[in-house]
Amino acid sequence: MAFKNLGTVICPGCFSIYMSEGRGAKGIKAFIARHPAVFIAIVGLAIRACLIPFFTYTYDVYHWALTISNLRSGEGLYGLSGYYYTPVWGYFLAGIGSIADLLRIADFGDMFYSLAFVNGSEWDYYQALVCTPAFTILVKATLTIFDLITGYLIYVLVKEHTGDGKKAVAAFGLWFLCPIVIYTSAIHGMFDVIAVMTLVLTVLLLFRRRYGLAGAVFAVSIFTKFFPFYLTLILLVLVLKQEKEAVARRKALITLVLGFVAMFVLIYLPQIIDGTFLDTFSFVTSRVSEISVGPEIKDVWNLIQTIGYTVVIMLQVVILSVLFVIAWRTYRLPQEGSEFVAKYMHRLMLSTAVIFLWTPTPTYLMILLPFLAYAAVTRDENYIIPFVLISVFSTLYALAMHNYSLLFQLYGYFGAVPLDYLVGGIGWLDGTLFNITNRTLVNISLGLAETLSIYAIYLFTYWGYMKRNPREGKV
Amino acid sequence: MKRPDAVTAIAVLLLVLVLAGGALSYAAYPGEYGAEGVSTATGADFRLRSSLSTEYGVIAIDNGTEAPVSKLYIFIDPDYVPYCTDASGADAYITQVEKELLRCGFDNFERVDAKKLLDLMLDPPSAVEMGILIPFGTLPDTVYTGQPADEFLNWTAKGGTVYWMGGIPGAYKVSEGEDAVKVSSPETVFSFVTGASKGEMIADEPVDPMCSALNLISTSTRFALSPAYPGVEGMGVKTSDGRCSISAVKDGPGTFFVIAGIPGSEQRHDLSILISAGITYQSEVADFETGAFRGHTASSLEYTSTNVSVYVIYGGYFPIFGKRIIG
Repeated sequence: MAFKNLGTVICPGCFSIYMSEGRGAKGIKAFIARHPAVFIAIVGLAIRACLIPFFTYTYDVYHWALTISNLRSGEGLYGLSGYYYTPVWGYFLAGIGSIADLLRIADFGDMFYSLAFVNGSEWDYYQALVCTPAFTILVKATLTIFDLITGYLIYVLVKEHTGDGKKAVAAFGLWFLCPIVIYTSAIHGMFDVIAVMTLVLTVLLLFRRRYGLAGAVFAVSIFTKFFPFYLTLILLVLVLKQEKEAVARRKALITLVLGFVAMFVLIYLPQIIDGTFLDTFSFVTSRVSEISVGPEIKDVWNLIQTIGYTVVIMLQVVILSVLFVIAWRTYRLPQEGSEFVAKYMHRLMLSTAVIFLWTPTPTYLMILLPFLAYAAVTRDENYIIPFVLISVFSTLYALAMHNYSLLFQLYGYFGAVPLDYLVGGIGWLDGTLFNITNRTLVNISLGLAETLSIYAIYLFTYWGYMKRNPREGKV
Repeated sequence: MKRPDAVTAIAVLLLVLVLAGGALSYAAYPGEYGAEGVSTATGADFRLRSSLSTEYGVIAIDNGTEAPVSKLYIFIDPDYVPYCTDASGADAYITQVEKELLRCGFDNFERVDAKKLLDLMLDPPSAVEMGILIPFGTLPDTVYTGQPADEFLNWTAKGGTVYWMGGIPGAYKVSEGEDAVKVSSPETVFSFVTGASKGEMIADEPVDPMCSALNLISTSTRFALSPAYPGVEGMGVKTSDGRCSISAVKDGPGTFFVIAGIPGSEQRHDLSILISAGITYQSEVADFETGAFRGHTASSLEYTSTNVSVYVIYGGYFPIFGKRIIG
């Protein structure tokens, strides 16, 4: 992929040409100055390359290997338990399985019985069956490609709207070097980036009036992870605002819906045929074993989670109402052209933030980052503060949640971490202070910090508004 | 001609990839797998085939004087709900067990309700080579009331095998349409449960070579039988005091296997391999070979015993195919 920056097109090998010219540090500086996006891409890829083989959240990656083995034994995605999401990521796993086959990667994981001590932990997501570095590299390299494409799409979006290559590069950099983006793909091995990439792609296609394609891509986005669904109304507003004529508007909407429905049917065709359609929504209903012995609520953290789920469900009324109001007010905007685009993108960013009035799992937050990066470089640079806060605290929260399990691969396959270190660390997390485990205290603290960093968006939105409209007292 | 822009190209490529992945998921899989073996004077020769790159394990299991289970009954009855799940949860789990059994190469199973279970207990044809799975630690009162004269005991008395999951054997019973109740002293009927684990203990030592050869993965020891009870054999993974994720004990001529832990995917995995491989109370690994291949491979195992099963499994800890090729 070529990044165009200020009229310069980068070709593969340019960097080495610069170096071979013997310019040394000057050469590098000149390269960075001329091709900043490529430099950022190289740095981002280098960081990922250093992390990918060694650090893995074993629990989820184990389930990707399990899913591929279920496919290989003819059980499809939902015949045997192990895959709890809508089908799109499962289809990518089918592709990853085929690549593994071509590369002769036969060993997906090994059991490290010495890690079985984790059974004694209060946290159920440690996994003694640890996937091999080869398998995890395959999964995470795929996700890294999506990281890069998403960054490119953000670059294009900003460049198209502002005509400013520097801003476009800045937005790309914010995304591609963002810690939680790196963490999610390169360490966690979680596929949120596919939903994000397809969402940004949908927005771009809508702006380009490619409605059929936009509808199809939006279907992929929603059926990868559900959060883009919340943005349906505000995305429809863009169509309505772009198409003023009744006939053109009708045609655009029909094309959009047809694209969506066609892709939905194609995505779900296998499950409709084999009768597992409802199983594809098991992430909404249940992802845990139906078998239980003894009381469910084990400690304060479980209690908080149980209450938290109830709060999240109740908050949906508020979230959907606010999203409706934002969409409606955006539809009523009198501005046209670039003025409308600027306001629209700002409200799209606010809509992605509104989805998370609750404390989300850190990786979920990735959906708002492209639009927050966009706002930071095009509207108000102060948005960089919530961007950084969200990046840092969500990453810390993720690190705290997954903690020592991230080192299991390093322990099992590289022998680089002593077992005592893992035993001691997990033991400390399970230790208590005032009858509350240290794990719970850390999670509560970082979850709170993450939530406040999301709320900081509203604060900076308010300050930005007051700065632009000093005499008015309301937003 | 106008060149298509990169954004459109990315969108089209993405849609193609998703659809190709969908087609691949259901059209290209499963792979084609097969395994054959013949007994020889020095052991067995085997030939394997797989259309996909995969790990394989070929295990020769010396069964001593015992015969592997060839028919499995699975107790499940929506009117007799076990203590640890509801009727739909039980049904969902058993469906998964059945699929896992098929994947591991065992297809001779049948569900039985409380009435059929009683019929089996009253008139067991000859329970040798027959197993019955009690998956959720609860027996119906048609066959078990907590008394030494209960019909359930006929099964092992006739040489049958019991696979017990989800609790300490005999600890719960249930009447039709009622909640399951605890049995105060299950050891009066099943003396071998004396000292069985009520809680979880750390089990981190595989009982090898069986555990590693069969790729057993459960490390739970809750409900495991006490190694102090005479005749209790351990399989799977053991604790420092010898409690195992799978315990086996003779009950008359029959055998009780206890798969420790709350029934989940790991227990399901181990149970299916245990049954499919034909593991008995006396089973020991006579020889085994592991490796990786794609296409065809062939080799041989060496052993001198005569009552041997040879079991093949592909996929390592992520099984995709299993077959008992001898025995």
